[in-house]
Amino acid sequence: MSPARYADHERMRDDLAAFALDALLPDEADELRDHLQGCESCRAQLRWLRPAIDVLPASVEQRPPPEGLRASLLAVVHEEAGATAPARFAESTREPAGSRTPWWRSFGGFALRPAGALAAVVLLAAGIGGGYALRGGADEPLSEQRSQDVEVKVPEAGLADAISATLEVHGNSGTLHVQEMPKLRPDEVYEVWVDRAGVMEPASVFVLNRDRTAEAAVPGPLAGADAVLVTREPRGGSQQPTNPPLLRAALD
Amino acid sequence: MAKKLTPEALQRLADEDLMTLVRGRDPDAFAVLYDRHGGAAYSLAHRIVGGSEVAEDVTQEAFLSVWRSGARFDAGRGSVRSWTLGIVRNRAIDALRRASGSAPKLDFDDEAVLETQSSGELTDAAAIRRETARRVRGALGGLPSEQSEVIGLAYFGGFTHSEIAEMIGAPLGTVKGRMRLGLEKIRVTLAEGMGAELASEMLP
Repeated sequence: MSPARYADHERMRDDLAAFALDALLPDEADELRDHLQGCESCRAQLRWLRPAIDVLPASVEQRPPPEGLRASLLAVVHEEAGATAPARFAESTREPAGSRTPWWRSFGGFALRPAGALAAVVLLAAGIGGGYALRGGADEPLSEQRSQDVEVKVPEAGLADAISATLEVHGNSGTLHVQEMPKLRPDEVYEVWVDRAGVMEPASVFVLNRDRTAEAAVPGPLAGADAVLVTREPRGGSQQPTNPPLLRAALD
Repeated sequence: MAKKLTPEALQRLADEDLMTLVRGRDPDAFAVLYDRHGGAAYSLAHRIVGGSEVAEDVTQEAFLSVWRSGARFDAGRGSVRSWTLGIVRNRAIDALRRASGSAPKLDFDDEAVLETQSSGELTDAAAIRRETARRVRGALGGLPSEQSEVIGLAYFGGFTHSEIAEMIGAPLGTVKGRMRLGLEKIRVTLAEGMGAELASEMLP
């Protein structure tokens, strides 16, 4: 190892504890991750330190979770478990002859209009740099995660000032983050759809947190899909959209 | 279709096996995971955000993330519990940063490590965790205050080393050194006291 590389190694080794504590600046953490790729010694030191981080939660006062949290979580989980089977729309058999064009067809036209003509375009993402967020994601502590943030369009002008959303695409699936969504009635959920050449595939359902934020999985596959949309649906979700979308994220 | 496991059978599964079922969208397996780790998750969230309502939201978000992104769990990089609590920690830090004007709690020296379960309810795993908590408390309590301070500010406060250096008026290198020494002491204490599980970790 050259003196310069050794000095780099020593500097990186000194940073390992701060890295394990997630206390490095993003650039420093990226540099250290690069170093770890080629340094077994530092990887071993990090593995050795890891249990010291893992036990820190055990040092805090233990509290029982609120009574309703379990039931609330399981309600969402049961709904989502039952709403993931994809369904293809067969308009000719589901729509009576002469019925109006389904909303998702016209909405697709809306999406093709110039961005300046849109009722609203919101692009909301922390850490956007050339369309990519490179920081270790919230769901994968201290791991590498590459995500692409996608424009999310709000078609209803009245909602434009309120709703904000980001669709993170991870490989062939995604995660939708929304904020300031309109509150749902108790008998409603939001449902995520994948638009594939006009065929709407149900992806997941979600409800809002108390602060009107939410995170929804978009299981995909997103390859070949045109867009991801969100509609308000009856509790339990729908096999086809029954309401116009509140959000639309166009995919490349 | 695979035969659905009984609740008793699910209870006997290791966390990693439960995660396999969660990836297959099994709500009952998810419920078992929540029952095992929900208390620790909520406690950690509460410690970081300092309030019950936000802690509840953070815990809910984190467990829904576990449900929805279970495929990202990699058993080779750590346990389900560590992964889940890592998600909770990151969500809680995010919530802390979003809450303008609410400074994080800095009282790292928690006086008590309380277990809310009665002794009759303790499983072997819970007993081990209780013992772990006792040892962690001992390890942290044995650290020089300047080391526990920087570890607490980073882990429970979400501050970077630069922010901590500015807050406590110490050079950056000093802060990094205190983090390193503190973690190494905790690690050595754990290895000395915890027996097979932790001591068997590979030495650098």
